[in-house]
Amino acid sequence: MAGELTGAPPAVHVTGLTVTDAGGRPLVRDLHLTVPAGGALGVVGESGSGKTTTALALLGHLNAGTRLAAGRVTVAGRPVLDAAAGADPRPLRGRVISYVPQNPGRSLNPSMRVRDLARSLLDPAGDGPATADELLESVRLPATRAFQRRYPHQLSGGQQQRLAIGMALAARPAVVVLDEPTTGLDVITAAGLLAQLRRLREERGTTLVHIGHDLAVVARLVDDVAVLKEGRLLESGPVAAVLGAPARPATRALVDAVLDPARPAAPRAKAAPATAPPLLQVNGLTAHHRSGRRERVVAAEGIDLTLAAGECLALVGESGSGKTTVLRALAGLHRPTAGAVTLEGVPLAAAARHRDPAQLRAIQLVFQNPAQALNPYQRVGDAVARPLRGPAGLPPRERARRVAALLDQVHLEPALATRLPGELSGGQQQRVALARALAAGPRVLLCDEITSALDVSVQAAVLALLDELRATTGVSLLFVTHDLGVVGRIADRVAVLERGLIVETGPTAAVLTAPRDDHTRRLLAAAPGLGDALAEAAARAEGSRA
Amino acid sequence: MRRTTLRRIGVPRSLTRGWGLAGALTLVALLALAVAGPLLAPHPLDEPVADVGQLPGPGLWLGADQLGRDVFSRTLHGGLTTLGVSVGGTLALYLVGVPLGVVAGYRGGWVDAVTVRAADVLLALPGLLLALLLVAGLGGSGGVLLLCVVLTQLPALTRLVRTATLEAGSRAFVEAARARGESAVRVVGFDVLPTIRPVILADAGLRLRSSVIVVAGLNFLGLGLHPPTADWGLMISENRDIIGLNPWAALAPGALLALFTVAANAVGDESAATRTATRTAARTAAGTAAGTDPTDAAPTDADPREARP
Repeated sequence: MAGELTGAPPAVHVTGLTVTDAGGRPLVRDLHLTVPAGGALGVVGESGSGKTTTALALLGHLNAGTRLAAGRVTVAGRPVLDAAAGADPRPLRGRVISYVPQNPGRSLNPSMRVRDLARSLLDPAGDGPATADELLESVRLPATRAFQRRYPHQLSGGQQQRLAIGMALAARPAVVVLDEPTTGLDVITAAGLLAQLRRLREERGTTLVHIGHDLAVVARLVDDVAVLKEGRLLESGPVAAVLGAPARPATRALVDAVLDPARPAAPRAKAAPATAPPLLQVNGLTAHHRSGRRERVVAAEGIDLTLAAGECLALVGESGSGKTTVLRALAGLHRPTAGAVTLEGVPLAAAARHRDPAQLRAIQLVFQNPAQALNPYQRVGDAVARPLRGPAGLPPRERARRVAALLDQVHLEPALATRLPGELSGGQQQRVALARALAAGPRVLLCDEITSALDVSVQAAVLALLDELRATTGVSLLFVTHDLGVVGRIADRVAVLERGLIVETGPTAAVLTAPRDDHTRRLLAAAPGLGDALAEAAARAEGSRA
Repeated sequence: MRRTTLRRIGVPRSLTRGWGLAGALTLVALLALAVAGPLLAPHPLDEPVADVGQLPGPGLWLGADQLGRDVFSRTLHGGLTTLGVSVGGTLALYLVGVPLGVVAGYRGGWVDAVTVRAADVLLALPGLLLALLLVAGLGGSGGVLLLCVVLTQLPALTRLVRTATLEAGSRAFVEAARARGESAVRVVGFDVLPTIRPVILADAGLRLRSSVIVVAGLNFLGLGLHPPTADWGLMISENRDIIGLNPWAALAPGALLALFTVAANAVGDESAATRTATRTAARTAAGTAAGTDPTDAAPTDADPREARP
């Protein structure tokens, strides 16, 4: 590749990078990395391992409160960070190196329309897209006028991510740093995105640095991988070698945390007796979204679902397939246009405020992003106590005892009750959200992608907790997700949604190993397990050597 | 320690340092002067003690005004009316405007539509014109001035609070509470008010400044309080004819009014500036700081999703 030509500087060269927080605690210690021009490096590690600090350092950015203690970063031979001499990275950003942040929904200016966002980074002099239409087409977004008039919040997560990538690539930078670009995207969107990034690399020789914790995703994009732990470089090398035969326990742990849809967990022994009446029954549920003034978009059509007591049913589909709308309709937050929902044979009102208190308690919703689902100004203990208040609630002293018991049930220390959500990690926040849902004494937990914002190792812990809660409280789970690995790990049965329609239902093992519907097959193909991804990476490496 | 104590009782961080602190201290000092001033006045309010427009001298620290009265004593007296009506009016404004905005924003539907349209009608009238109408109809008195303060600023405040409430109401934790069937009062008390509090605080300094300008302006124009009341706005108006004889008679109350508005501005600006700054920081760190509160984010670098095991 280009980097192997003698004299060409490596695309990214990091020497002795040490970044500390305000207190002098190192976040990244003495890091050395080199990425050849046109190469692709994955930086993996659990959260808190310094991945994001490293990613930002490549752009010459240090987060507020952090300090460059030592080291030097050069991109395409030009310094972006230099502890000894100082460097000004600003002229390089966008043109030489660009960044795709983890959460594109928050990095796109909410008050700018798609067209203006796309135009804002066009470089007419360069060889990149010259118009907003071209930019949108380059990331396979519709270039229609209606689409260009939308604001970021009117796009799906995948569309936001593709727009952010299109903007990052607009000026044809030599190096692109991707911070978990597929987190929060469904498998098909993610697969499309990865294919697009691979193509970009092939066509333009763009150097990629992919920060991530999902090894199965990282392995599909990169040649080499660097494993970080507590700010140190643990090991690095070709991805198939490092992850295929992990030498270090920390790497091993990362590899083990990856869930493989091809190998679903053994079916749980305790299946509800077939004769028992279903706990929750959904018949012909149809829901619409309002888009613009008059248009109505079908979000779910004729959904039939049954959920037995103690069962876990996974609702799977790509983004925009209507899975979240179904959950919101069940929770009484979205008024369906047709259909009936019964809980233990009793019909449920469409709106939450028309349901009786027992019905409200019986169905609890847990959100995808725990940081948004918890009031940032309310202490953990008060948040968990919320469902215990009110006329039918508990007196204060008993409430405190119950809160302590609930926190214990989700494996959080009772001392955390006095903390604010912002002081907790994402995994802890999601546990708090679960404790709050459990406080109501629910029969059904509606889980809306509750692990998708979490790190793989944290995800494994939360899934184990859900298993445990099912066993101890007998609660049923309706688990919305796009991650088939998670489905294989937790669900008894699966319902696959495509554009608002259920295309396949069945026991988890059967659906994942012998799918009947094409769409299910596509979903499965889009998310190979780590083993397949590594084999793919090895084949790629073989191919480029030949 | 001291700063954390102040923070705990709800003082925004911006007011514990720099211009914010200076502004807050000045505001407090001026209010103290307005309240305690009358007790310190050396001369009676409305009796001539010297020649008209006499310059400052011993025992007559700011000279005499257009009727030979002691400017120093009148200045000490004159703050209470202006500042009292402004501060009281601003408080009344928040007591009315915040509930109105919250109800409109949270309840939505026709309540919202009616509130917003009513606010728009009031907004269509220039503030001064509205005040003139009120004074013409009800006469000039402290109570009417207070009403002017409230009515001229109510529409803007209500719309601000309504917008903030709309935004707060779309948060996932508010939806969660709605799905639990919690009463609107509880959701507003626990979730909405704490969320919109920073917006309201940032706005308060600017509103106070506007209140002072409304009150002092009306008094200066002779539409508010009447002579012989000692009032800073009125004093400027009364003494502008003798400004060549004793400029202090108009300058002293004017300077104090200016100081008050500058201090109120500083407090408002600092609250607003700090808020924007943390917001910007939150946006640039969006990739990392997914879970921190954007209004009051302590800088953290570690990936917050699972910093602790």
